[in-house]
Amino acid sequence: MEGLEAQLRRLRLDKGLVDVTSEFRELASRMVPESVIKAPSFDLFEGTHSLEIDNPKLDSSLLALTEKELNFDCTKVYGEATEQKVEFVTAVVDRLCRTIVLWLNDFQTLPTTVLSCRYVAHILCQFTEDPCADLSSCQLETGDELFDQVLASCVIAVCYFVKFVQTLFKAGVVYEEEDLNCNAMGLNVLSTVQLPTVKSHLARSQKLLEKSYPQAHQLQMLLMLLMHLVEVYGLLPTYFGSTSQVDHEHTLNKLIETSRDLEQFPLPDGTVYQGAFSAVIQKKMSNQFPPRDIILPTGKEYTALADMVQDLRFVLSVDQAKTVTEIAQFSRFFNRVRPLHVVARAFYPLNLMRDDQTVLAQYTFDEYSQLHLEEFSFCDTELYKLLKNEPQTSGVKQKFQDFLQEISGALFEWYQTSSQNPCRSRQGFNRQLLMWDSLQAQIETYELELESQGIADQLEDGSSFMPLTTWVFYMKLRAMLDFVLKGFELDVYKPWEFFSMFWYSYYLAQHLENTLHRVLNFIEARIDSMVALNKKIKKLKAGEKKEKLREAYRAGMSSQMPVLMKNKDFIKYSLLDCSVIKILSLAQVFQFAVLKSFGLIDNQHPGSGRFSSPERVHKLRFKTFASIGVPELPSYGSFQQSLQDFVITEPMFETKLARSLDFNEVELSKVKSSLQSVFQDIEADSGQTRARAGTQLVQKQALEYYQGLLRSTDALIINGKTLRSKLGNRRRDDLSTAYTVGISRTQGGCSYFPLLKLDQRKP
Amino acid sequence: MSGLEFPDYIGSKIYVTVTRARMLVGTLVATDSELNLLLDNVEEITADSNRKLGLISVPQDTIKSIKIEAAQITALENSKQAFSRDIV
Amino acid sequence: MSLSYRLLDSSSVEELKHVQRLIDADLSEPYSVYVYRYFLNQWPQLCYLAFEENERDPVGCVVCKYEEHRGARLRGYIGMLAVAQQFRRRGIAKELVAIAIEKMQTLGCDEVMLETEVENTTALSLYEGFGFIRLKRMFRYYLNQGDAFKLILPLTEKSCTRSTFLLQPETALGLG
Repeated sequence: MEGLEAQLRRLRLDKGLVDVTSEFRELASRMVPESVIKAPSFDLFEGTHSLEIDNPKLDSSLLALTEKELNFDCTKVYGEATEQKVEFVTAVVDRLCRTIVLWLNDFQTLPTTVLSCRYVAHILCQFTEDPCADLSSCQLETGDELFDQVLASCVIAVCYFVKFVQTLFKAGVVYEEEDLNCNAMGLNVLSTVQLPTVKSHLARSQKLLEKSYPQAHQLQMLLMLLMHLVEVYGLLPTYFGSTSQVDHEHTLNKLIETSRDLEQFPLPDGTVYQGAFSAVIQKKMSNQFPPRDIILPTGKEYTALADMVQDLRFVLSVDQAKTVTEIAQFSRFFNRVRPLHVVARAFYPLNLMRDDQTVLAQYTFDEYSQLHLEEFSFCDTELYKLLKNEPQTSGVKQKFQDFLQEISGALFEWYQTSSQNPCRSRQGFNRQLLMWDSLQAQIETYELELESQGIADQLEDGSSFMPLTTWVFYMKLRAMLDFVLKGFELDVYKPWEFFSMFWYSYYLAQHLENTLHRVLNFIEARIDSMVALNKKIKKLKAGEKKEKLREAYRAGMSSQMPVLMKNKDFIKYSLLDCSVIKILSLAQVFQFAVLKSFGLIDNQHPGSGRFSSPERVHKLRFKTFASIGVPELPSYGSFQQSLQDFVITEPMFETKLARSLDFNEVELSKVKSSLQSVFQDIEADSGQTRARAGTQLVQKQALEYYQGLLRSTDALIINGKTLRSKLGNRRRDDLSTAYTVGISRTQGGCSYFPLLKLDQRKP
Repeated sequence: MSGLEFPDYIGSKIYVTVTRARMLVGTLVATDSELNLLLDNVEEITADSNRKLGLISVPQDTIKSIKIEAAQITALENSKQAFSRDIV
Repeated sequence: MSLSYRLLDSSSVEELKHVQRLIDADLSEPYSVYVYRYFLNQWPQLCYLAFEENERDPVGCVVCKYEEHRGARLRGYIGMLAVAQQFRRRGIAKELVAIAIEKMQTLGCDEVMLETEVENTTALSLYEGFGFIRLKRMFRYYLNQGDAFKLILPLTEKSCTRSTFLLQPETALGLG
């Protein structure tokens, strides 16, 4: 207590205070037990986030520290002989590099990883107090150059990488606590320091090591690693403008190489750190977070670091895309089967959709949105042709531009969703639904207006095409499908919900298929008419008319025709993709119905009767879709009726059952052949005379996804056979006492299609 | 001594000595009948450190003493008197 | 050995301590005393205790609240549920939840919400037995880094309508 009293005297807190302890106790004793006295404006909810004195989970003062940790001194030289000093500095720098990986890969906090290093805290405290851009305030001052120059460089470099991650984090694509913890304890992480300053600091250290410590081999490698690691900051799109282009490919390759080289060194004995890594920062510095144990390296950090850099290199490769479809396909697949490293996920959208309102510095947002339309349904439509010759000021054009902006907003959401964690991604699709839905309503009105002015496209059957509405509808259906199916991936649905969810996804896929067919019909008609034009020209006599037509034909062949051909390929691929989802969903519906036919499952919530009802629970599940205009959500009754239609009943139970299971098998074998065609499309893209699936930059990832679907298809076929053999041919009452229905996930299968399998009931 | 009640003290800066030789200085936000205090903008002072902790719940069994600036008490008393005069 | 259930006596400081003891033994999340104050002081009518004949102290508790959600509906929330280790598997948790939901119903709640760990199959099957469904999954929701499910039980039709639509006057009239 004397220590505290002395401190209070120093702070002049020992005088002028009146002890009110007993008065407070007296006042409290007069309070009604269940009451709380508080400021009227204070919400007790805030109080739930408070820390608490002497609560081991909430009081960071309780963190236990060893003598060594308490006495650790950043201004002291550790080690007597050069060899010992090198060993110490190497161990600290090595651990520091590993803490980056512990921080990012295991979703740990900064205070338990990078900031657990006393040198980091020391240097950042200095910088926070005196933020000198030339790093002159960041000193160790031990009097030994190995510490003051080399170790300081390394600490600064690691902090600079933290700054890079902080910058990504601030862009708001990944989420605090879920994806990443960026709590820097209020320290300023080198905000004003420029990359070249850090690089030259490191370069001085490299020179020093070469000259005076040639034996410090591992330390030299670590410096090399850090040199490349700080260069990663240069990948930030905001940075491009201010410096000459860095060779990113080279930097990242070197980084991977050096990480791999460092894998060979074993973790040193923990005593070598002398207390340089500890919970001191949590205990001694301002801290509004609960205490947490510091995280120890496991030895696999450099492998993980190399993996992180590979993911980063991979997402950067999107800038090689030649069409918008390729970028969209990249976004669809890059983070799908295997979630990418959080740094790559955070970097991707930031790099793609830049602060300067461009996509990859190649297209403005409006151009990009227009290309999205053109590479689907818009090319060679009446509005498309009209806009080509329309002046900027025309009303039609202005309105079209307005829509492009709205579309950009929705696309922005769609692209962001692609790089989020799986839970956020499902919610992202949910949010998009209303966006696409209202956009569709607006664009439809616009297109109807255009039609009334005679700007209209018709399909062969005479119905109107409405290319813009069609595209929005297509995007909306895809988001709806992803939202529904992602629920299976995240284990959100119980077995009894499988029927409703798969029947609905089948329903959506049917709408999507129809939409794609309409687009294909339109594109084929445009292609045919252009070909027909050539024939027409040949029949014409030479003259002005012929020349005019020939001109139009040439222009069409050179500009629209290649786009139409490409679009046709992509739509055909999309139709295959859609049919796979459709039939797999249908197969799930069939298998559910078979299980129901044997009394093993029902689509009603088994326990909902007491406080709710099956219908109400169903409506809650479909709440999002109930507000969507098109396609209309089928009524609860339709869901029930359609299940009845699938369920097999007497008479002729056996025959109907066999027919149902056979049909299922035939359909599933069709899926397998569709998937083979998709594989061909994807593989053909690498040779690329012309891209069909647009997946050339994500070939591996796309193949992985479709191979997963293939495995799920096989698993469904086998499951059908198992059901057949286990259940027999006749409806029996004892089956539900023998079996329960559970969910099974196929090894390497598509996460959208878990199976309903029979489990032997436990006695 | 002062005729002040808890609601009067809410919002005042108080000095609470707690276990482990620490003094917490912060704004009194709330208290319950057991004298579990809720303090905001808390600064924790120990023999060798001085740091900010934010919003802190101080359970009554950790409290050694509670102090308040004499000047603050006078101010509270004065404003209370002025207030009751106004009412009368 | 019979069980009984009753509302927490909020005038007893002892009972708040029992709740604290039961929850602290059970949950990994760190709670300060003001977490308990938040619930028990504002919604004392939604905190129930379970007693076992031979035990002096309560052996289980459920702590809830209810509030307006997005200005559109009343949402009950089950904040904490705990049963002492040696009294589990006797349906105490189930009864506590049932009593709490019944109370929420009489208070006019449109739905009941809660979060639970994805790995906690016991809790999931308990709640799913009442008709709760998993509305969404939340990534690394807990301090121990586990994912959570957000569960909802719809008590009235209002629970099944997007709140934005409930806010439109014509819809509200329609419902009235």
